[in-house]
Amino acid sequence: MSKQTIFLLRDTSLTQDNTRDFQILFLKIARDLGVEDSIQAVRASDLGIYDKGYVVKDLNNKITYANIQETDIEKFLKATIKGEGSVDEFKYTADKCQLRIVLRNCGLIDPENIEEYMAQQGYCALAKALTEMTPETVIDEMKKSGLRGRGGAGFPTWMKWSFARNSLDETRFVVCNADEGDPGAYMDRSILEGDPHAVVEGMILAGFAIGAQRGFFYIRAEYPLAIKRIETAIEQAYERGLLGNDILGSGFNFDLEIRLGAGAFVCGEETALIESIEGKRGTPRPRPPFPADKGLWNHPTIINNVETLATVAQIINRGGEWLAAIGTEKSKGTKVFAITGKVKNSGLVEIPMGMTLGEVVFGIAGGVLGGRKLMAVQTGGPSGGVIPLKLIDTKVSYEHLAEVGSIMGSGGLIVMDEDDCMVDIPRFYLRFCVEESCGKCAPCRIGGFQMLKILDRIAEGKGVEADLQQLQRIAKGMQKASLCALGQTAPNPVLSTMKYFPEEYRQHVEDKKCRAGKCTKMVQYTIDQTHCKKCKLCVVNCPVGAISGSREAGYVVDQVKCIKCGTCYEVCKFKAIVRK
Amino acid sequence: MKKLNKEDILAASKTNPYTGDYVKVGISTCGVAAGAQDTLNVFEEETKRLGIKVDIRRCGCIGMCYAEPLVEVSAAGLPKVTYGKVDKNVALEIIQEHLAHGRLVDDYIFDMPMNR
Repeated sequence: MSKQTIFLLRDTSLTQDNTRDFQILFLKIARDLGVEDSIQAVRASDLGIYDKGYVVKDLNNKITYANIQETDIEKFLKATIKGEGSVDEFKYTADKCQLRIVLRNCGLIDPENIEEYMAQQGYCALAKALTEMTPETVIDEMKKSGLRGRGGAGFPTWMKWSFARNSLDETRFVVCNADEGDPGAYMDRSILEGDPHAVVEGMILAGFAIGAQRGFFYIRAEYPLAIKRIETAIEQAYERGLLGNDILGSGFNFDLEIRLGAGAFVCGEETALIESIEGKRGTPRPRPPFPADKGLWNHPTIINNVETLATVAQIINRGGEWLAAIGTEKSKGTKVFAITGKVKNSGLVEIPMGMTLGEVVFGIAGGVLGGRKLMAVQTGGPSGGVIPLKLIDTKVSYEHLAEVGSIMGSGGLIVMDEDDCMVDIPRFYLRFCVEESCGKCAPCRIGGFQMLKILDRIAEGKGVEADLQQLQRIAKGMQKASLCALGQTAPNPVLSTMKYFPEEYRQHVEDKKCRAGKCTKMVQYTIDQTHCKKCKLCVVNCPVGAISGSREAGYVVDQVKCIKCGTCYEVCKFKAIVRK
Repeated sequence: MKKLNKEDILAASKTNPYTGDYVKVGISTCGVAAGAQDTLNVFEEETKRLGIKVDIRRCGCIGMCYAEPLVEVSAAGLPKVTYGKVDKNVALEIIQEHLAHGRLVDDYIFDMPMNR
């Protein structure tokens, strides 16, 4: 078989999909030109390009052409196959695209095979550090890179390391915080499962830099596959002398072991995590002293997030300046986000800092599901804030997200459309924080509970004007007086929605109405008999059999039986179901 | 097993484990939840039954969770492509069309631009 040119075709318009027709026409013209045997024109499902008309990708030469009209096909084929003329005007390069540093090996290598990791410069950074560098130069390289903690707070990694390095106590520990608990965030799991050796290498490098002898992986027990792969990775590293005594003949000793978390959200907080590793109940300690000074068993301990550690080897390999060249002034490198919610392409994306939220949601993730209108995005999980559509051009960086009242957090990014209620969403997050509060300090334990009670009241249509002020007051108290970040940040979703969507709260409190129909106590579903075509679709789909009647008498919703799930509203083709 | 030294690591970094034809199935929690294990089994059993010479590999999650199970195919002299939403039937189609006859399968190719 002669060598064929492979074309991937895709209609990237947001409202229709005529890929099939385009392919038929494309092949017909190819036949007319007599080149049908030298090409394959295949319908692609997604090319990662949106709203650029018909897109054709030449897979052999890795060139993408966009906005090709039906009338251009002949010219296009002549140029690309016969070499007659040029189609450079259609050439398309994505201006914003993912940059994979942390996820570079995820989906590429077999995570259970150390050879494949080593073929991707694996453990080269370790060899370089142990033979050519000193702990001080490693920390120096980290300083140059400007890497900040990816767990949420964004503390400069090098600073944490140098605190521990300069401690007088010689017994030191490294901990990898893999207790990922934000609803909808799972990048740590994917990194541990997809590239476990990168994290192991980062741990050894961190141990070398601070002069630690032991390291702990703190992984939540809900991640069995991640645990298994880290176990395998540690075992393989020991077998090859990359862990244990006298690593690579440098005289440096380092041991790694795994500790399982029982799934308490608060154990992702570093001092609670320390308590948990020590075998105690996972509740936070007051800081200072900070763990870098007095951590595990009162010895200096650095606790880094999975993503932070997965970046370390790359920094040592390529130099701190390389990472410092990516990102914004105060936020360097890339960040992995888990995009979920009402979005077309949910999944993991890794973007350079400084890209805007809009570019991430519309450019990379393909926009809102079903082409509906974006309402807001939420970053940082239960500790983060809701960012409205008008601020969609906010850049992704620690400083820019803080400016609009949200945080980077561990990297959850939840997309909300107009069907989401801006009272119900923060209520969900607050309920999560109330359930996960360890109860040690009063502001978080009592404040969270009281805020949730007020929100519940508002959602039930029993809210009064004074409730809104009370919410703000309790929130301030929690932010100021809570012992750890869980309580300090728990009011963020409520405060940010109150700031950006005051009209939604007013509607709930004054008009007792929920625009989105999510606050079920305020919603009633009825059937408009003039629009009803008696198709019975609602009757068939109602999960509780609340709709009854006959073709002659018409159908009615039994308000006592109705659970307000909204199924009838969604299935009705004639808009005969009224939601009030 | 022999303890590695610096030279071993540098030598290993220059090797290329990706020679020859392969099919790579994403086996992470997201993939497995979408049925990647079944997909992997189909590839292993069917290629063996039909005598198609191809390495069946495993890998982690590439991040396109909405399109799991994901399968990367580099075979039959064709450029490397990633297929998404590969259930048993799509897997069989890929074996029949792509692996056996060098024809790409319509409607399941996901090609995301990304820099590494």
